[in-house]
Amino acid sequence: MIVVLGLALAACTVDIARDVDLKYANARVPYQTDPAAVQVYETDVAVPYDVLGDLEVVVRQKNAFSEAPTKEHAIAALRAQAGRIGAHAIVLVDFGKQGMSWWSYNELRGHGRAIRFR
Amino acid sequence: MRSGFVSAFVALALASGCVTVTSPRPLPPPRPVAPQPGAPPVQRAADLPIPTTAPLVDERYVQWTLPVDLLAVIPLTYFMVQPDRYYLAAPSLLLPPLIHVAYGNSESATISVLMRVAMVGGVYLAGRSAEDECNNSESFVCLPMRSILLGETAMILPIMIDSFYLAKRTRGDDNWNRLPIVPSVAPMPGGGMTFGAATQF
Repeated sequence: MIVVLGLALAACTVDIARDVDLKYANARVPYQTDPAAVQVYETDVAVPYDVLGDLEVVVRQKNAFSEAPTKEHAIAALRAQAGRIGAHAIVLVDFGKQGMSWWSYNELRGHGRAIRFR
Repeated sequence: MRSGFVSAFVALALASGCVTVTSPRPLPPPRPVAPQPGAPPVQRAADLPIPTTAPLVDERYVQWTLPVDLLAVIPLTYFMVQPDRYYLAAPSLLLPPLIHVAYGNSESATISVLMRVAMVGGVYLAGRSAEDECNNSESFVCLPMRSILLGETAMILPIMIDSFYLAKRTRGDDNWNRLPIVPSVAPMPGGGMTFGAATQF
């Protein structure tokens, strides 16, 4: 029973590692934003904005029974992180090539810049 | 000795060759964008009535647990053959959980201690089993493979689980609480330069 439950839980999840680089950050804001409403752009936007931070995310397949990492997983993690720091959007979202790493045999790395429109 | 180094180097090179994942191109520095009159308004995510908190950072500290574990295995192996010197099991039993505690990861420390109690029990049983195997053996040289395998499994499993599953934590980014300072330099009309520092929150 426990094994079945464990497998069922493992099948639902991926392992997510987050990091943030505040090198280019030039602002802080007081309130969080709704992660589901955070816009995601693959390019820069021609609108004045403040940089809140460069977000990095690594999505790893936990084991043979768990889900394979996808860009949707990575974007959801980026949105959650961006909402936490009060971002309106994430620009320059980009992903590396999915493959094997030291930590997982199926890994996807992505990043983007969390911004707040002026 | 030299062949050992060569083998380790070849193994490391092969393992590195297996790494196929790549990182995306580095993000460029932000470029200033002037407001464009008549540009369509952008959709903005609504503010929630929740204060912002530091962005999360997931970090591993296997660089501490694994070397400590590998060193602690040496006295543990002696404990296998000399069970009356029970203090030899203490480094393996206590040091990695203490590292978890030092990183504020009490949940992992608890799991680690429980695993390690089982590990020490397994190593003790392997030692006794080896004694029995050799006492019943009539050969001149006794190599209790079954017990060695049991002892190694008892040692390796907790070390692997500790290093690759438990030795990680999630924390808020430390730099978040510092205000971002943006330096500026500008020429003055009458000559000379002005230097400034600004922040926005």
